[in-house]
Amino acid sequence: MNLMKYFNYKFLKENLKQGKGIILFFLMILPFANIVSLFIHNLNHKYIISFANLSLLTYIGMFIIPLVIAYVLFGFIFKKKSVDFYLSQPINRKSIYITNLIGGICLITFTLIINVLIFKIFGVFTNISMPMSLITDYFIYFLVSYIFFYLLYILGFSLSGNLWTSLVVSLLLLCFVPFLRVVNNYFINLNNVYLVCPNGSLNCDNNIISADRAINEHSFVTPISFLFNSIYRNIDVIHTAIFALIYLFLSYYIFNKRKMENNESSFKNPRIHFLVKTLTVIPLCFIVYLCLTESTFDETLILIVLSFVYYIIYDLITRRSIYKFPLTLFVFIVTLGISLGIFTGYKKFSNKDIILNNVTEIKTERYDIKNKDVINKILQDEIDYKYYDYTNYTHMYATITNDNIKYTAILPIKETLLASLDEYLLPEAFDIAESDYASLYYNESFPITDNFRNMLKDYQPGNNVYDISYDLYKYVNHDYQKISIIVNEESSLTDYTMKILNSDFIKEYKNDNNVYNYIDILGFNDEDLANSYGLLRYILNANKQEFIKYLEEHQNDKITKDYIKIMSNNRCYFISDIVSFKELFNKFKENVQNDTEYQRLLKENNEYYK
Amino acid sequence: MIELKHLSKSFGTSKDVLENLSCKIPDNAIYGLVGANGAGKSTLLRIINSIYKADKGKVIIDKKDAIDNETLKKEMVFIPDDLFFFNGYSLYNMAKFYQAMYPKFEISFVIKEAHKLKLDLDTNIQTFSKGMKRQCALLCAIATNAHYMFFDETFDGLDPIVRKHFKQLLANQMLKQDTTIIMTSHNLRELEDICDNLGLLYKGNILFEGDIATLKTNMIKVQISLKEEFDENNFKDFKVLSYKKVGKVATIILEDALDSKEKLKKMKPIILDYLPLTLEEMFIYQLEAKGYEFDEVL
Repeated sequence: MNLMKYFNYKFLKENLKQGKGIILFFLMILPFANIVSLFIHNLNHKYIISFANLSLLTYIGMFIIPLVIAYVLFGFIFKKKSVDFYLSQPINRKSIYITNLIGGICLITFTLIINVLIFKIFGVFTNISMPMSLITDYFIYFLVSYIFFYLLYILGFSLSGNLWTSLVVSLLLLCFVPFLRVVNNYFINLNNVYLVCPNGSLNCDNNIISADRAINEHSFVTPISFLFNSIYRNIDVIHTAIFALIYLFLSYYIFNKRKMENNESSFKNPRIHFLVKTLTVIPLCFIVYLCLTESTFDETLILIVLSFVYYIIYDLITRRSIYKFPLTLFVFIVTLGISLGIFTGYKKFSNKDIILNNVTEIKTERYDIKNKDVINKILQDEIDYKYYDYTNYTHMYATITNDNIKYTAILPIKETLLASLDEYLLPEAFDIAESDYASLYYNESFPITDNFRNMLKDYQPGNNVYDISYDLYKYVNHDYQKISIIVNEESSLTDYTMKILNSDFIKEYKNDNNVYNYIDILGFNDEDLANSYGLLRYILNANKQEFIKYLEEHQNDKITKDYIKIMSNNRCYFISDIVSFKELFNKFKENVQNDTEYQRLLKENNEYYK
Repeated sequence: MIELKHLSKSFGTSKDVLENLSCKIPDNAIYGLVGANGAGKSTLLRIINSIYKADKGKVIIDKKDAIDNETLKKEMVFIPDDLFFFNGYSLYNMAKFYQAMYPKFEISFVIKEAHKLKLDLDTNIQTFSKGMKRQCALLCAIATNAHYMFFDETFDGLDPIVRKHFKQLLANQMLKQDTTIIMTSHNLRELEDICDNLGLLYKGNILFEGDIATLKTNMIKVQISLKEEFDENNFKDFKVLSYKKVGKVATIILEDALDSKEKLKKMKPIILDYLPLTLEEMFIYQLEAKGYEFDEVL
């Protein structure tokens, strides 16, 4: 089919012209919101923008913007007057559908392109510079998702006679199957999950683990999977695209066959009205069931009454009258009864113990463990775990795959085992010189400059003498991968890092007027101080100007293995010239010798350590 | 020519609105479609204009299937009874819309006529009165220069002067473009002085149709009195549609006007007056002859 044969540019132009105000408003609101969001990130020095950070507002817009576009272009079918006007124009239904479809897709593409441009412009003027692969993921993910929603709404419009009903139909198409999955998951997660002991028996202590069956997100479309896991996944995008294609063909067929006299009411056929209305009440029946099993009878009764009120209001909104009240009451009672019966029966049917005897994968945020030996070691840790021994364990969130079914669990793992995992489980995720962002230990990230990149090229691992590390991030395989590197003994990166740290320390210390803030000097011994932060703080703050002057003069000193480290407010300053600092510090001490506060602190300190 | 073949249409479970309706509408004519409320006039126009889909039957225009035929639709314009204008649009904006859709649209016609009718081109149409809105819609429709024009309750809300003006515009349009105009009304008198043909829609079908000129020449209304006593049997050789006798004078409606006049002369009546026949009377007598009560039908 030659689509362009059915595309009528003049019709689209005129059709958009009449809705230009509302379309422009909704198309511009998203870029505007994104600008504000990026400004806030920039102000908070959050320069690593993840897919979730970037997507949140666009995700919310996904429910609204395609609806607005669909309403402007296809909303005429809800009113008799506009149906007469549009369909009497010299354009046939196929052309109306295809013209409006292409027009809507162009608007969606245009909005997303504006957003992409905003992201790129932010990269030029701020430290927020998003990797192109992230922006490409964003564009593909939301282009497919927005088109999916647009087609979903057109299908809803074509199936029903007014806006409210079409929204209900669209939501049912979108959410009903995921709702059933959630219900199914709820019942399955009431089960006990057992780990089989290494010898295959169930009789070892503590073999029951707290685990939930993971929702199989792979069978969802992007709008739903984003709720569970807001990362880009090709499989979600492919599913969404397939559903979008199905909706395209369905909506095209139904729009062409649609009885245009069906408008200003829900459905021409009251049976379909009843069916749709009843489907919408089933989730409420599930909540009633939950209330019945976990709450009081009074609360359940109130919920039932509220559900029935909703059932009535649905009629009032979609048909502007209550449709056969006795029948409505009867259908509601029958639906509630059947639903409660099914849920109760399903709980009984599904409530059996699950035994994990064939774990093939344990996946955490950091590791994807498929090695059978490692899996066994981790599971053995879980079996051996005793709650009073918690200090030797770390609890990690993991997804366990057993016989192709996934469970989410919190697994205790010995610190010693965890420490050894990195060695043989983590592949080099990327070449560090290709990193997008770096983050110093105090967690402020920055995009990598050419200069920094060159230093990374020359980087060689060494000893961690300064206890300073960088986390390097790169957007690989649709997510940020992280590699941590230590600042080694001697390299251009070391000097560069020390300058950054020292300069940052001075800046923070200068602006810090709180005399009670923490300050410490690691690697520095003074017999009078005996680890008294109070005394140290008093001596340094009493000589603050002179101290700052010293720090400024020595901030570019070359670092050596023998150093002392001043720490304050999550910043640190490295001093290599220990002798000069010692002299300075003694001078500072003399300056405050006669201060009563100093004497008081000294006395307090001596008594404490007596 | 518009040819409607066995059209049927029902809305849901209710009775058929159109029931196996067939008729032919000649070219270059003004065809008036009359019928009571709910007779199916608007539905018929909507089916012809591909707004509604007929359950059965075909609409043939210029020997082509007219349903959703984009080429044909460029030669068709429809103004429904309930008018639609885009929110915030002025007459000029609406005219621009029509101009984009209809290749032969004459915006100069709209500007000229709006000036004559004192319609402000730049004022939001939604602020206009019902009659002014109707004028705007009619102007846009006529300016399309479409070959087929369909008007539902054409002159609804127009005052007599404006109504006359639009009748003149439609007549001019017919002469200029050989236009075929189909207009509906539930009021027969409204269409009397403009239509060439009339069709009476009753219970989803055309109960009666014909061109007005033929009707008028074919039917006569006479008041007659004969020397001797007479009754209806004296007129057995005539095609009598209605016979009423008060005293010695009978009022008779007859078909085959020419032939009947000859025959009447030969009867040597003492009184023979030919009375003017309104369209409404013609319909009443035709319907009575078919066994229907006029009030029930219209």
